[in-house]
Amino acid sequence: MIELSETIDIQPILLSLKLASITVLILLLICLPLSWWLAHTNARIKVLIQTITALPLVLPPTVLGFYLLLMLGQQGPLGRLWMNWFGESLAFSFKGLIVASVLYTMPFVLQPLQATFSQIDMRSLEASWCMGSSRIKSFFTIVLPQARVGLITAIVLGFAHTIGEFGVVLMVGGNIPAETQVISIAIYEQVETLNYQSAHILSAGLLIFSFIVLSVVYSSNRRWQMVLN
Amino acid sequence: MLNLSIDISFKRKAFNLNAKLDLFDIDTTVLIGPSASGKSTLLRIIAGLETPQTGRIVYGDDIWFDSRYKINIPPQQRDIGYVFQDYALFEYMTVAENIAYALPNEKNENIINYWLQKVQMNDVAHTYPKKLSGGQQQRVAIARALAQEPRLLLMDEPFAALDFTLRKALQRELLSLLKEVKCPTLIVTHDINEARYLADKVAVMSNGKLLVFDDPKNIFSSPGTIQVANALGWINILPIEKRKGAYISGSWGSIRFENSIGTHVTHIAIRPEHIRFCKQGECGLRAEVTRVKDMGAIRIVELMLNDQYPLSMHLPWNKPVPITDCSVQTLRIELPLQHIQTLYDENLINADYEDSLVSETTDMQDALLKFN
Repeated sequence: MIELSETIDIQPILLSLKLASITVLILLLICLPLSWWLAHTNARIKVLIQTITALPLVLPPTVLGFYLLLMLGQQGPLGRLWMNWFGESLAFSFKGLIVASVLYTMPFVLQPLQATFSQIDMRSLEASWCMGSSRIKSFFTIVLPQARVGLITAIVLGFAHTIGEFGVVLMVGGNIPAETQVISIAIYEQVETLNYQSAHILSAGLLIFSFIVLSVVYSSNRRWQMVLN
Repeated sequence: MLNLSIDISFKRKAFNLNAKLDLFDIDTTVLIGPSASGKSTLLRIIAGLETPQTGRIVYGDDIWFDSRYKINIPPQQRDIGYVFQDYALFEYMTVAENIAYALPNEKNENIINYWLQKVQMNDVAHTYPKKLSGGQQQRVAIARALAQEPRLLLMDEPFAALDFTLRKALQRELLSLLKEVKCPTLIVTHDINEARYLADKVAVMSNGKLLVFDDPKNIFSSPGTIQVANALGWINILPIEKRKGAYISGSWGSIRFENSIGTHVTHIAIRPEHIRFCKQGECGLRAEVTRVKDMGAIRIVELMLNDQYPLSMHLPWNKPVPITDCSVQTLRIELPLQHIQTLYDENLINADYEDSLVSETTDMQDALLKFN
């Protein structure tokens, strides 16, 4: 173990986990209300919002990365605003990575949530209101347990997609150790420098991690369904 | 003594509901009416789950909705229990948790156990709803709605999804529960027998309008208007085409009453058990027997008058059907005068009432002119 940490820089792993956790957290805050609204509205603007938020699914990461770089750069609208407020640059920083990840990963969180919310039994929600529970309380006690599988899928997909993203990260964040060098960038660099052993260890680690997370999630979902039925 | 007063106008896409009804001293009121007459929507509006465009809903001293003053009390504050047709149990909670959720203090084991016992669900207290039968699920739904001690219990076709035996058993249980908790209850149903069995009072609705609100005995024995008779599923209804004094007739035949009947009477009706066969030599309406069905305790004889007007007749099982001529199967029947219901047309009465208001106003204007 000691030998391992000597040969491998674990900084990119920690950075990736940190980035994925923060991204998923922000996405949940945005997507829970947004997906509920999308699942139950007939407003015309729904189509526009659905289209915009699904764009990252079809665009090459480089296209998205390019425009994000323009936006977040010091001459870009968001970058300039950030510079004026906080006196630091967004591009090639960890915070810039978070902004990029949130936008890039949004459909992977939004769509499973919207799909699950559109299947919620509205009668049980109304029953809860009639029992005096506020809309917020009813959402957490009645809706979220029903949306459990969709919610977990959204979290896992969001987390995994952030960990695995490469193109957007490279365009927006570059390759700055301890700042923007996440695990996928680190693997790329190890391969480029022909350091195959480190690349192997990082890649296999990522593979095993993903496998364990997914199998735990799916087996817990299965067990939960068996309890109910 | 709680009164519910509703006067609302609701519109969603092609569906329109204009309801105006005052229910005095609700007790257990059954709201009955033909399908798509807006009964369920009205119940949802009372609960606050749908918002009408305009109008007013008042329960007791509380104004729940008033579009003029922009009052719309949310369902959370109306203090109602709602039993849905499909039960709407929380499938991620056990039976006990479902009941606990309705209580102000969810940890009050005594009350939870009390209600579990009341609906005989103690054995399955820790079971999830999906593992229960339809009848058990409905018991939990009723217990859950009553456990919150609502000021008004609303039930939307509560037994529609259950089989006959189970429905009967649950109706019986519901009656004793309601007698015990004394909670004003409004039940929507399209099942006439269910309405008769459960109701202290019956409200008959058609096209969003309250036709009559009365004791079930009165309503079912004499519907009064053709609209109520239709809503209650009366089958033996004959239109009056001509009248002369006490004599009425149609292409189905003719009947002579003892006294002349009102001009607003447009139809007559009779219950199946009151029709009788004429004895030999007696004259009566000529009817063709189209079918005889043995139903156990009774026999249903389906008749046709003049190829156009079907009548249904109930005979005790041991009484023979006196078909004189087997090939033609026609015979004569009598509609005993004392059992004939005369039915008014509500629309005609209303039109006349409005006319009389207009003439009264004109009379008053004339009087004022003379006075001046």
